Amino acid sequence: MAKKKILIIEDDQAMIDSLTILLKNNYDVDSAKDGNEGLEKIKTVKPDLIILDLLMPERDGFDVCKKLKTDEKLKKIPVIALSSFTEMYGMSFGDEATKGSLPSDVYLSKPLDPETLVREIKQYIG
Amino acid sequence: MIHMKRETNADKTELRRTELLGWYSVGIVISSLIPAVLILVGLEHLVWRILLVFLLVVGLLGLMIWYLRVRYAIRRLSELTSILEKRSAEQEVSLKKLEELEKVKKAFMHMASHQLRAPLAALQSCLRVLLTGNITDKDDSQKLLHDAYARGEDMMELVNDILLFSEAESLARLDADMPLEEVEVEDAVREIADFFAARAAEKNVEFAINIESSPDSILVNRKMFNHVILNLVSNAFRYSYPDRKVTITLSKSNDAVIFRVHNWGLIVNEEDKQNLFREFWRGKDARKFVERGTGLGLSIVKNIVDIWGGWIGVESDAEHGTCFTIEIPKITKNGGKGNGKEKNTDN
Repeated sequence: MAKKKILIIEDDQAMIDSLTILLKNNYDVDSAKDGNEGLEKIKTVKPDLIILDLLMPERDGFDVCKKLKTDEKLKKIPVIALSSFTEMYGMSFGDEATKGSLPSDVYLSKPLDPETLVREIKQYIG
Repeated sequence: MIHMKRETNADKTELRRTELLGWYSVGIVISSLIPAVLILVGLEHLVWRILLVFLLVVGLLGLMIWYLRVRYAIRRLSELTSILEKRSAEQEVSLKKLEELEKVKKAFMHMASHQLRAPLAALQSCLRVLLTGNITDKDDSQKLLHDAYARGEDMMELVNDILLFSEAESLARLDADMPLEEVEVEDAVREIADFFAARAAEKNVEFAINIESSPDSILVNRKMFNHVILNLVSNAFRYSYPDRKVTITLSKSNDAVIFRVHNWGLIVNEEDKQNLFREFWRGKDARKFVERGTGLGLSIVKNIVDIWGGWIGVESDAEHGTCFTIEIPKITKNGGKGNGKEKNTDN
């Protein structure tokens, strides 16, 4: 059975490496280094799940997320947002009160918690 | 402040004396009425006449001196008022400067802490993945350790830059005196250039110092001077294509020392020129050319050059390469802080 595909959109190479090494045994992992490259790769890679950094130069994760969730073909792809910031653009992340304020399906804060990330991924794509 | 208090106490004593003099003089003039009345009722006697004249003369003389002292006191009062007003205005300006500095510091620290989070989070993420115990491949472990170390280095670089930026910023805003020393420009630049010999060889970049006119010595803070030149030359190497040339050109004008650092590599576009000296800002092309960087280097350089009353600018196009120019006003030992220049910069 073919592995499920995960696309990491992240500008920090160390984060890409740690995510790839963590997930590569169980998933087919690809990566893009900014929002624009990410949107291009989504079309070619056709990922089952996207791990998306929120703060990136050029096109940030918010923009990518909005684009995905307003596209009929792509909006079903689960998006796990990652950020080292607890708040951005006046929104606080990770608390119940603001749940749903982000278009992503899950918000996880950096540094990475491998167990939580793997659990969330399993919940969406097995 | 103590001096001012002493002055005020002396002025208070003087005022009290003037007041007493006024009352004494009025008393003497009034007491001259007694011999005057005696004379008027016909009790004429030479003694009364002499006493009348004496009292009138002493009393009027006292009143005259009193009048002069009152005039002096009024003048002194107005002087003190203007001194107080001036000092109060100065204190207000200092207070505003401190408030402004506090605001800038807060904004900067906010930004800096955000900038520190990214490498710290990446470093911790690498270590957390390693700590799961599931990474059995030796190459993967090495890669994670290498990434963690590299991001740690990024943090160290950022912290150093933040400290230097903060130092330069405080000095610039509070007009504090920096320890200055006479620096032989050509020698200092050659000394700094020696650091880059290995870098030039590694990148196969030709490195040249071109002395158009030897700029003698200038009075600057040595640490800041070294930082400015190191930063510009380091950038020239970082953003240079291999096998090309980096050139430092030294020259002088009547009132300034001029440094030009030229390379062939990354072209700074017009948009980037506008933002080049902003804190934590790195252009898209710069990030592609060199992945890592704090985005603080050039803002520190600009802050220092501003403290010197100097000027920094950049010219860049594919035909001529990229050239950063700084002009540092010659500062004299007898206190001249150089001529601050107003120029239209390219940045």
